[in-house]
Amino acid sequence: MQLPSPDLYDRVIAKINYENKLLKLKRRVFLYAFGLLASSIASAPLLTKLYEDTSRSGFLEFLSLLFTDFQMVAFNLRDYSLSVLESIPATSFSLTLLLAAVFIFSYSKFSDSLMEMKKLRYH
Amino acid sequence: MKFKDTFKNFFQIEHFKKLVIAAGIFLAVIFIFLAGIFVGVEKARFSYGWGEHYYENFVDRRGPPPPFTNPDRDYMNAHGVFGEIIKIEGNNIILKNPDDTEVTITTDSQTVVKSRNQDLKLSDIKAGDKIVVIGSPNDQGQIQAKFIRMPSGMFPY
Repeated sequence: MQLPSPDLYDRVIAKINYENKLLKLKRRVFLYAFGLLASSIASAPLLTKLYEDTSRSGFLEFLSLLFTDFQMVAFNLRDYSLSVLESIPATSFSLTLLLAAVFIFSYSKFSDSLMEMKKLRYH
Repeated sequence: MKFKDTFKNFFQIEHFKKLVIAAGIFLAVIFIFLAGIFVGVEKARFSYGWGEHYYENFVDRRGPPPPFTNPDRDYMNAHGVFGEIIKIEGNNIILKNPDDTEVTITTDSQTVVKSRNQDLKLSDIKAGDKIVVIGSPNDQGQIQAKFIRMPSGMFPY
């Protein structure tokens, strides 16, 4: 009768650990891929809304005064600052920033997880 | 001795750096929140004045102010406006902004009007022109213009 190799137990445990890590990594990759996809899809309507809100509020027109009429802007700094603040499309602007943050975070974590997956070896 | 060491370590370790960053973020959030409240109050006050004096400013007769029935309509900007001139009456300019709302701009001798690099007179602007106005609100729901810029092709409207 042939006896099992002496390192069989260690190999089984190593395999279990490997599979566990792989499963966790696969879940993470799926989650971050979903984050990337969702934020990419959501970016189209949100950017359109940001463009509409920005052009309707006059934010770009007020901002451009900074370059064309700097002296007048400096002279009327309080009113100018308030007009820029008033015209910021706050909701769509903050949602776009949030979406950009989600995209960057997901991309970073997604690529990290892929790299980790590549490095993962079964010993 | 023990307390001194703990105190000394507190300022050397990473926790202190994290604490400073957290405090900075907290202060920034508070600042943005307070700025939002301030700007919101300014806009609300101006919108109230605009509604209260709507008939005096635009219809030339007294009556009840028009209700803000359009749910999409936000409070109006109080310190800056841009749009197309509908009418000029003496020193007052009636402007239609992109929300299709009329705003009365009052001018005086201190108001600077510019087109490209040239200083213009108030009489040089006419109905149909598009302008950007910086000014301050008054109690009549009007904006006292301090600076009027006529676009020179660089604006996207």
